[in-house]
Amino acid sequence: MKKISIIILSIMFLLGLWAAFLPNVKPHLEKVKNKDLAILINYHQRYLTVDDVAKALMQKDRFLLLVDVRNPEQYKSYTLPGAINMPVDSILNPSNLQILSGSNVYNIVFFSNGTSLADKAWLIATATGIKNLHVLKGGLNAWFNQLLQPKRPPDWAKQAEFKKYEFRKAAARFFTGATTAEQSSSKAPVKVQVPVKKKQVGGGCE
Amino acid sequence: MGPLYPLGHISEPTNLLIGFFIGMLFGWGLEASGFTNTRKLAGVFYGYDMTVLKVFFTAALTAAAGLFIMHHYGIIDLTQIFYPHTYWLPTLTGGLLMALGFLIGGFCPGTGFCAASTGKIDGIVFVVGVFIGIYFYAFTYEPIFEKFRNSTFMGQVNIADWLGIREGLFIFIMIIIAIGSYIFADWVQKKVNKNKSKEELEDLGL
Repeated sequence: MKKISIIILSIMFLLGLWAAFLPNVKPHLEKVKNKDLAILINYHQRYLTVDDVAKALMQKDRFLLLVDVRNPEQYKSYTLPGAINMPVDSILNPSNLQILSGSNVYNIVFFSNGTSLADKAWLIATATGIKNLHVLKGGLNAWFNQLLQPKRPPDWAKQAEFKKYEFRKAAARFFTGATTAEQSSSKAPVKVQVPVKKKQVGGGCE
Repeated sequence: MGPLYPLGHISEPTNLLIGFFIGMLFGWGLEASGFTNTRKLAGVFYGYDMTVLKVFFTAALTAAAGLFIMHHYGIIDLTQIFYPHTYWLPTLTGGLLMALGFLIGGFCPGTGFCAASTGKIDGIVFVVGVFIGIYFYAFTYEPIFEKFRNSTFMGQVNIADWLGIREGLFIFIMIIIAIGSYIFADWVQKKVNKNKSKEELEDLGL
């Protein structure tokens, strides 16, 4: 072995020996003070609507991480596309906390059947110091009732309402592959009678 | 203090500029140490030249020990560094494909670009192949690869945690393994090259 190799290996060995006696790198999970938590709870920015989540899913947002906080049986029977399961009582497991601490890079969204269980999960995780977590407002109930079975707004509704309705119809097709009832009703093609213009008698000064 | 960019100490253009200069140094280093010679890289697989193994193992472990020590003394904050999620089966497959590419092409992506810029025709062909591969993957991602790429999700895995030992100790053990592998590599190299004539060795760039 060359002299330089021996020098380099010795330096590496000493660095390793030094490292061996140092404590672990811990994720920054300082506890949040109660006062701060009270402010955070009233901070409704954490809520995402079903439309926000649907849009991100349809655009195949790589940085979206959906977290199903219901129990594994419910998760197995139905969940949102690409969601991972993290039952609410297992959030403080180190492996789960490590996933959640990726919230500075990923948009992490908790969801359950309604809003309240996901909100509890949000509170538990936020209290450990993880920031930037989200909750799906209305949960899977809203997902079904608002997004997958959209109701046509009344005729006098604002244009924005109609736009939302159109988006939800498209989203429902995207996620279920089915067409909504309104469109599936097939009508016999109506033959349009094109009135044939009779040739007018040419006038004198034409 | 660090990392400089995620903590907002430097702007994005400065970050890119630093990357540019580090990239230049890296390219210079690869060329100066003869890594743009395909025989050097392929030598690892045939056993006549173990330089590449030693260089990259040393680089990775020195960086690991150095970063870990610097974290302990507050110079760099490791929790702010991007840490990808692990999908073990796709990663393993990718690693095998990459090794096959090393063996057949004789370049890694970095040395391929270096070789292309020095005008080596095999390097240029390799770079063209890299781009064809990238576009092929990008355009066939959804129908072919998406499901596989997202399979076997493990979350953010820290290998020391996974083995249940302290991080510093893990780095130290890896360094001991590395030193052992260098001695073994030297032994293999000597054995393989024993019967080669002086001209043959010079032809291999030794």
